Amino acid sequence: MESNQLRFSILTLGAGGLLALMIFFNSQLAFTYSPIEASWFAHGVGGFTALILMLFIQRKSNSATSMEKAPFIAYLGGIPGAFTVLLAGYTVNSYLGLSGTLALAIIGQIIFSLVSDGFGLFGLSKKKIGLRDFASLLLITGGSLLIILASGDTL
Amino acid sequence: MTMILLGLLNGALIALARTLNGMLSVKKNAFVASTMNHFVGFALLSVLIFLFFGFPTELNLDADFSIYLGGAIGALYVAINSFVFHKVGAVKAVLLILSGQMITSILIDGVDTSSKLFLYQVTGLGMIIAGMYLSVAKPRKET
Repeated sequence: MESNQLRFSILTLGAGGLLALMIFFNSQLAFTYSPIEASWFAHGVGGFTALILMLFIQRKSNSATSMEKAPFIAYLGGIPGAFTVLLAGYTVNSYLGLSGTLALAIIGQIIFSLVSDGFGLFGLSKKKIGLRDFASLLLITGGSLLIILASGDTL
Repeated sequence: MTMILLGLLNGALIALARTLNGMLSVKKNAFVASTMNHFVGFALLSVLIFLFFGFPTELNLDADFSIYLGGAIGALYVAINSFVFHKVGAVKAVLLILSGQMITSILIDGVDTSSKLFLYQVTGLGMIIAGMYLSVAKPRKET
């Protein structure tokens, strides 16, 4: 169990690394096109890549996809995801700039996750935030905000 | 103030997208979640572009092909993210993704040791790594 948790944690950390790479390429895309067009391309390319990966996985193991019914709302993750592009385009061009937008997005995510975990929403198991978790939250959030805000709009 | 609320809402939407994809991953699998996420987003953006920005998008053929790589990386990112979401929980997922993202961004951009920013980057990274240690290394007392 404990070593599994470590494995999942490392995988999550790796996802964050992929996110940074994705943003790096997508910002070049947004430089060539408009932000919304860039996001449109990225979603299209991403959709086909994911589809190929999905078919490949299913071919390898028959039981990969369970027949369990998922709630309808679970299929709609792409909607808030796509809206963030529009919203970010709006706030980046305000006095918040890029660094302010990133900083507030981090705080918004933390608040949302604390509520989800704290009340056990969306099928998550209810978690109590201990002192150790809280210290970890403050350090990671604080460190990230420090880097982002110090970089200002040179980021 | 409105902008600040919009900025916070943006973060909440990012977290919501992650949460919904995680739900689908539990019932189906992570690649189904990633595929659905991308095609639903693609459909919505298509409608928005059609209504407010005007099609057709002109393809820029001079640009380097590598700029389209972000989409492919995104497919893997969303899949991994959806897979781990329920295993580590919402808060830990945000914190570890953020850590990985900040560390990688600094690696991509490189650091300038002579700039004033360097001190902030080192301090920030130190805090992130300390926070990661606290989050991952659990105290020994539990058996």
